Amino acid sequence: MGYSLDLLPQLTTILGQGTTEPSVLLGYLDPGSGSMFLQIMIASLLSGMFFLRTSIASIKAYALRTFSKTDQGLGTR
Amino acid sequence: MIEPLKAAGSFRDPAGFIFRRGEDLLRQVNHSGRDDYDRLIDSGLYRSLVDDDLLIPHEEDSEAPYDAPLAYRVLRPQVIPFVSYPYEWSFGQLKDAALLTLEIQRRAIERGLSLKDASAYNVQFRGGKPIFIDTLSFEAYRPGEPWVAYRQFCEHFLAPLALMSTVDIRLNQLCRTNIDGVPLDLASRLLPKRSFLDFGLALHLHAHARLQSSRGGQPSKQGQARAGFSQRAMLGLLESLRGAVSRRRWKPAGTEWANYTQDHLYTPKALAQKERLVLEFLARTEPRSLWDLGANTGHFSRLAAGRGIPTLSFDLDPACVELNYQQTLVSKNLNLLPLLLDLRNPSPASGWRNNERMSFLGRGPADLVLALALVHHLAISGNLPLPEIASFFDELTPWLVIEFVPPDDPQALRLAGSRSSSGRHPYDQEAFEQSFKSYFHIQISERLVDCGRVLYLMRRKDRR
Repeated sequence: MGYSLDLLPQLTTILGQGTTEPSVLLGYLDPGSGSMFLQIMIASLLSGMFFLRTSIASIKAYALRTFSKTDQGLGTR
Repeated sequence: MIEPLKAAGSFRDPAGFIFRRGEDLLRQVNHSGRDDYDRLIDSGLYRSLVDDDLLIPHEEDSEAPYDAPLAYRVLRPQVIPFVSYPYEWSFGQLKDAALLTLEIQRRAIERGLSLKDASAYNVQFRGGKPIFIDTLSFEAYRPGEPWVAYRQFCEHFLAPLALMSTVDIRLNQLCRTNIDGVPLDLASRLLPKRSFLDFGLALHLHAHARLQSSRGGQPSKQGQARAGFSQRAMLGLLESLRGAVSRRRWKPAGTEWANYTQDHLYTPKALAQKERLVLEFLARTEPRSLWDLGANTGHFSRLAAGRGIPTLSFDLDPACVELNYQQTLVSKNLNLLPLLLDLRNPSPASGWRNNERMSFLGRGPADLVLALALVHHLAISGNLPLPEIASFFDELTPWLVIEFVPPDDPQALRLAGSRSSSGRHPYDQEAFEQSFKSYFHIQISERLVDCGRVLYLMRRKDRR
């Protein structure tokens, strides 16, 4: 096993306190308390990963545009 | 006045439901679903998804609703010719359905909406490709809230895909017994320890399962949602799920019939004769729908689909169905749908009141059934008496193209194994014809060259 998840239940119980309010979620499907909590726990990670991925994609696209323009310029000389 | 009939599997969402009136298939949008339906249309999401063949198109209709006091709109969705279920899909079909669901959610988020459910039953196959069919699955995106359908997505898609690719392909049948999705704790327990090394599986299945167990009894609260799940986090979640799904791979190999087409026993002459006869029979009967049972990788299904006949290509081997599906995608064959089916134990009616998901026979009949090199499997491997097999086909179709494989055929001998013929139900050509003549008229029969197999075209007798 790569790493242990045994501490997760305790950790989530601690972190879960203070983030709850009495009103119930809208919708007919029960999203599952654990599922909602997991998403909140990993929100920063997901957000960071997404930011990184889109940044790399933008840099790649910019580089591709720049170099392809340079190539075209050289080709016309 | 034709009495409308509410579709048995369409009751969970209070925003609306599907109903039939005569031949018409209609969807009622209730007042409670009005805002979300209008948002779907006004945001341009509906148009974007329909233009790219991701969502089933519909027209707003003036038909009377099923339940007038509740009704806001009546829609006439495009009809899917044959409804299939996740436990009948190959690995690739389930994976493509998962990726479709994620792509729809991504586009929805960008336009201020979100999927309120992510059931695999919201996806069907049309023109060889998956398409989302539930127009009422969209709701307004509430900034800051996590995805309410996250657990359902993992249970309906990621868990079965992980089990099929890492443990055993036959575990897709867990979808048959768990129509609300494979429970995450069960998936986590069945997956091998090395699956913890895959970040996507460790997070979305193993950690998810642990959290479900530890917080199972607590209701989901609005406050949790407001803890700050940004739109970027939502898109990151979708990207992470897409990666976890995309990394699941299964190569069809090693199962019983995957190499059958290459290794089969027909000489080129016999195969050409069989193809010619099948085409002749199709031209003569002009079926509007065809079911190819025991289709293997779909060689003869393709002959029918190539003639524009909507064709379902059933086989019990997951490898054959997968190869068939991949070939269908490459050839862009719009009339062919490969599906997984064990005829000796076909899909039952299941779910609420045994009525939520239809049985295999309940979705018939087909105009024509192809049963090529199949009957010896049913009679010899399945120990089914020939009269029972004939009666089954009588229930299924008015036109039958069936191949008789004689008991001394190498394939029949292989299936019989060490069992003596005295211990089995009678199986020879005379008994075969006798049994089928009780239900069908034999229109044409022709022996294939270089082997003793016989191809029949049969027409069902009138039922009086």
